[in-house]
Amino acid sequence: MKPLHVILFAAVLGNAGDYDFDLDAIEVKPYTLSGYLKGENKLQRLNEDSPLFHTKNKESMKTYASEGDVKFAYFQDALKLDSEVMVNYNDVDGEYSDAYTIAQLFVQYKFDQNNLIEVGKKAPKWGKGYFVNPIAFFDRKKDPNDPDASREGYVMANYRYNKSYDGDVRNVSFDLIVMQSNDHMNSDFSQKKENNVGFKAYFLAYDTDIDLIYYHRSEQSDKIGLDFSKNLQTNIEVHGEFAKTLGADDYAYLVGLKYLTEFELSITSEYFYQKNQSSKSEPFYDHQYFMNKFSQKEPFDWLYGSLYYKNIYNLEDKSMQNSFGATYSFKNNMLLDISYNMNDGQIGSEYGSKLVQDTLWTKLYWYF
Amino acid sequence: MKKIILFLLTTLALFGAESILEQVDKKLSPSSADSYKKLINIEPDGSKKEFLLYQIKKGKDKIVSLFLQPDSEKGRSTLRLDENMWLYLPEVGKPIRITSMQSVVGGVFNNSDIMQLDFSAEYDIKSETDEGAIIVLDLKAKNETVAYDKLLMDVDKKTVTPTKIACYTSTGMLIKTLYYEEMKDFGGGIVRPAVIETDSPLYKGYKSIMVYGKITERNVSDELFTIENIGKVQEFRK
Repeated sequence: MKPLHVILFAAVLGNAGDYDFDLDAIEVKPYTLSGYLKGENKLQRLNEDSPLFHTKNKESMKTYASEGDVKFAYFQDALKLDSEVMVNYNDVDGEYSDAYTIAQLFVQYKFDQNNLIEVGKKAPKWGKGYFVNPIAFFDRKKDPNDPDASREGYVMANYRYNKSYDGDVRNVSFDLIVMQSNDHMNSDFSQKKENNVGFKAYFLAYDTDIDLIYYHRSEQSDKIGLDFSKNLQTNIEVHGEFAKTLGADDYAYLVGLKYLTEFELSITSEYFYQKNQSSKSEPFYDHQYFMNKFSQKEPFDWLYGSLYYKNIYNLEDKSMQNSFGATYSFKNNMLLDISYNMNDGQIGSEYGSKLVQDTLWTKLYWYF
Repeated sequence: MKKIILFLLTTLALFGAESILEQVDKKLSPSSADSYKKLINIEPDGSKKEFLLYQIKKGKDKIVSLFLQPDSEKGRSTLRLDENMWLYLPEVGKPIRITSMQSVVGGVFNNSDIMQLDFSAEYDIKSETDEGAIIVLDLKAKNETVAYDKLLMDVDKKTVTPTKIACYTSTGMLIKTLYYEEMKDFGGGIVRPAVIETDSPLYKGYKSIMVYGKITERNVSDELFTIENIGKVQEFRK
C-alpha cells in the first residue's frame, strides 16, 4: 500500500497548478467556430441471398469515407449568423466521390427575450424519439445507423415566441414555420410547387414536455402531431410521438423510454408503428419496429470509454440489425468508435435482403 | 404540556437550522449569478482531463451550463429547471431529457454536482450538531428526485461555508465526499471556497476537482432557462 500512497501524494503535489484559472480562456468573442474531421473504414461481408448480390463487383470490397463538419456562428447585437458546412470524400470499392453540403445557413434576429425569427436553411428537428421521429415534418429522416448524426436542413422562415411562467406551466413557446418547395428550392423535400406551414405549441407543464403541431400543406392533406417527454424518476424517462394525416387512414406513432441503472447502463427502448408503409428506399419503411440500445458507460472503471449494443427489429418480417460497439474519448479531442454490425433475417425480409451481411465499422473523430 | 414545549423547541431549532442552510446558499452564490469553472478529472496514474464551463443560475431552481472546453465537448449545454434536466449536443441539435444521476463529463462528478441548485431548495435539516469550529448538518432530501438522499455537511462557523459534504444513498451507502477549499474573494461581496475536490469509494484512486474562476452577480430573463434557448447559451455570455 505504501508505494500507492507515495504515488497518490506525488499526484496531489502535481495537482497544485490545477487550482490556477486562466481567465484568458473565458474571453467572450463575437463568434464561435467548432466542428470535426471524421475518417471511416468499413470491412464488409456480402449477403449472397440479397437480390443485389449479382450486381456487386466482388473484386473490390474496400470502403473508406471521410467527412469534415464546420460550424461557424457570428453574433452582433440582436443578429446572429449561424452556419454548418459538411464536406465528404468517399472511396467505395475504388469509386471516388465527393460532396459539399451547406447543412445549415440562417440568420436569427431577436426582437426581445420572447420573440425571434430565423430565416435560411435550418433543421428544426422536431420530435422526442431517438431512432425515428414521425412528427419531424420539416426534417430529413434520421440514419438508423447513426441517429445522432448532423442532418441537412431546408430553407424556411421560423418565427418563435417563448415565455416562462411560475406555477405548474413553466414554459410556453410557439413556432411558426413557413416553407416553400419547388424544383429550385427544397427540391429534396418536394419537386412540386408546395407551400408548407407548420405551427407548433410547446408546453412544459407538470414537469412534462408537450408539443402540439398543425402542419398545413397546400397540395396535400394537412397533418397533426403531438409528442411528450417526462422523467418519471431521476433515472426513468418516457416519451412518445403521434402523427396523423387528416381525412385519411394514415397515422404513425412511437413510444419509448430511457432507463439508467445504478451501474450506469443506459437503456433506450422504442416501439414505432405506422399504418401505411413508406417507400422501401427509406429507413423504417415497414409497419412496426422495436428498437433497443444498451450503453454501458465506463465499464470496468474504463474512464471515458463505453460499450454498446443496438438492435433494430422489424416486427413484421422478423428481420433485424445488431450492432456491438465500443467508444473511447481520448484526451486530445479524438473519439474512436468501433462496431460490428450484422444484418439478420430470412430471404426477402428487410434486413435479410441487405447487400451487406456484416460490417466491421471503424470511425475516428477529431474535434476542434 | 411537556410534549408541546418540546415540539415548539424542536420547531424553533429546526427553523434556526434551516436559516443556516439558507445562509450557506447565500454565501456560496448570489441568488442570480453567472460563473466560470473548470473541472479536472484525475486518474490513478496522474493523467488528467480538463473541462471549462460557463454557468448561469437564477433563483433556487434554474441553472444552465455551457461547455467551452475541451473541443470535443464544446457547445454542449445542460439545463436544469427544478428536477427537470436536459442535455443539448451540437451535433444532435436538439435537447434531450437526461437524469441527474448521469454524468456528462465522466469521472466522479455527476450532473447534479455540476448543476447544483441551492441546498435549501433540495434538502431539509434533520439535525444539527455543534462541534466547536464547525456545525454538522444532517440533511435529508425533500423528495426522491434529488440525486443524494442524505448529506452530512460540515459548515465552518466563521465563514458559513461548507468544508466537507458526504453524500449518501437512501440505503446509507457513501457515494462520494466533497471537500471545499481555498477561500477566495471573487468581488461583489462574494467570498467562498474556490475549489471543490471530490473522491468516491465507487471510483477508487480517481479524483475530480472543480475550480471557480469567476462569479458575478447577474440577472437574466427566465426565458434563458428554457429548452428553446438551451442551444443559445453562448449568446448570453458576457
